[in-house]
Amino acid sequence: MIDFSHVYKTYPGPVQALSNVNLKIQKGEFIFLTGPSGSGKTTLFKVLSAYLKPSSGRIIVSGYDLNKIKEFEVPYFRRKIGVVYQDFKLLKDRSVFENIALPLEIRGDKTSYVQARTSDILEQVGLYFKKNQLPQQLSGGEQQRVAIARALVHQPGILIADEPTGNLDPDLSEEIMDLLDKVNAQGTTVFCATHDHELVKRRAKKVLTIQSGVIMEKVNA
Amino acid sequence: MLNPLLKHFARIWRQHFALQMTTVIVLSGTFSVIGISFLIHQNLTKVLTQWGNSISMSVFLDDEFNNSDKLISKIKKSEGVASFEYVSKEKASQLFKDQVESYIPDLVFDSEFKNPLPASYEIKFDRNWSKEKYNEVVRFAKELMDFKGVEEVSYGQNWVENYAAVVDKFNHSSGLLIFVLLTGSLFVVGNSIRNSISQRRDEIEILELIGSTKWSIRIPYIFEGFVLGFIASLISIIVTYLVFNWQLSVIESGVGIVGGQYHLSFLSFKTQFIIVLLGSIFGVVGAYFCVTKLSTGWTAHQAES
Ligand SMILES: Nc1ncnc2c1ncn2[C@@H]1O[C@H](COP(=O)(O)OP(=O)(O)OP(=O)(O)O)[C@@H](O)[C@H]1O
Ligand SMILES: [Mg+2]
Repeated sequence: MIDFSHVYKTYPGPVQALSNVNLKIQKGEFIFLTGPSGSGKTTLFKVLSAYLKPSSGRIIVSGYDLNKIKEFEVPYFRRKIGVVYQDFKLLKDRSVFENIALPLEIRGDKTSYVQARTSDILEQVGLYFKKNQLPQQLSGGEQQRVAIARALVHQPGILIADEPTGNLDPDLSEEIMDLLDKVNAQGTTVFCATHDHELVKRRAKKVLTIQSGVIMEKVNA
Repeated sequence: MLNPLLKHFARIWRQHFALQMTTVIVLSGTFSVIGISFLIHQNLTKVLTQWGNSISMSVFLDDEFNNSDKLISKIKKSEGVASFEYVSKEKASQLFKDQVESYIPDLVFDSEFKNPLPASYEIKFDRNWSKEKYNEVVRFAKELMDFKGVEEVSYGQNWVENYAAVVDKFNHSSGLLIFVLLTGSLFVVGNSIRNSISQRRDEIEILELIGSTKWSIRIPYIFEGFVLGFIASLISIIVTYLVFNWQLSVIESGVGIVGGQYHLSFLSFKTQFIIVLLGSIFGVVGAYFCVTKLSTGWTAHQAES
């Protein structure tokens, strides 16, 4: 499902953000990614989701070789995954509902389905009553839940979540984690970065740790 | 399909009202100048063809003229001649007397009056023919001039030639002006679209990241260019119409100096359609040039490296 071999990413500077990353994640797995700030978690997710091109190395995700992917295939690849960005990336001038409906509209789903599915996921993240608000009228935690809803609305094969509970209180964090567990149980591969060690401990999942761009595997049982 | 485009347009207008408004005004002005040039061109040409409709030619003969058979057969053989009539010296003099009688009554009774008027052939041309073939008329006149005994051929050539030269000059300079204005309008549209795009880098990046295709991102901006061009050219037709009406009232109040026989007319429906089409096309093209640089599929990547 996800296969990295010898992946490097260097930012101008130069900053070596990823260094010889080798990874294999099977379909249906739930994996946490932890590591200190600035260690390369977001960068790893960005090269994984075809947001950034790696400097070198091979990345295969859902059958797409991201080094060889044709320009016209990129959007179709991106529709297969769901990404919760650390900075949410919500459209400022569209309502909560419109933001969440976007992946379905892009895919060309019928309006009636878009309405029903979007309302459903809004209920699940507990924001149905805010559906007509604009993102800037929401709290950080609410915006984060909008981002999560948008990443899940089109039922992607892989969910990549960059600190999806970073702005949530413990109760809400648990709720969101339950939601991720639920989509994982339905077959979605979940790859989730977090700083929250308590949460990682409670959830008993496979954990990858990254430090200065280098992956150190360890299993938390 | 149309709904998202209209929504895009509504958002752009809400957010960049002043710039959009300015663009429409500048474009409308530009297209109005073009519309007015079309209008002037059309009416100048119309006067020329209306003159063609009523064209007649006088072939004046000198007193020794004696090969009327040849001249008549030449005239008969010529294309476009509808009718011709011989006007003798006496008849010319009579016509002249009839015309001037009311001004100089004495002349008519003056037995000493020596007839200075030459005999002539008056030729009338077929309307449809002479309308198109001003140059043929000129050539025909030259051929008649070569006849022995033909003193003068007159068909109002002086003012027609001057007039035709003016029309020609106008056509050339307005063609150049229109070219310059249309090029300018590309930049005006382009500038507006470029602004919309640069204000929406984030949005474009996000749309790409959640899987929008390049063209589904670009098309709303092209549509924006189309609407700008379309609205501006419609406005320009209204402006042109107002200018036309104002011009008419000026001419009418000027007691027909230009001559009442020439009726000015507004742009034909076809011309109006062409102006709107041109406006819309230029809107699309102006936007297209800006938009090809947008949404490469890797906007986010480009922004960060
Ligand atoms: N666009 C960029 N240009 C230059 N350097 C960058 C850029 N983005 C990230 N970096 C650098 O790359 C390194 C890894 O950054 P990254 O954002 O992947 O860390 P992270 O693990 O997600 O941190 P955090 O937990 O704070 O989100 C950092 O040293 C950072 O300064
Ligand atoms: Mg990060």
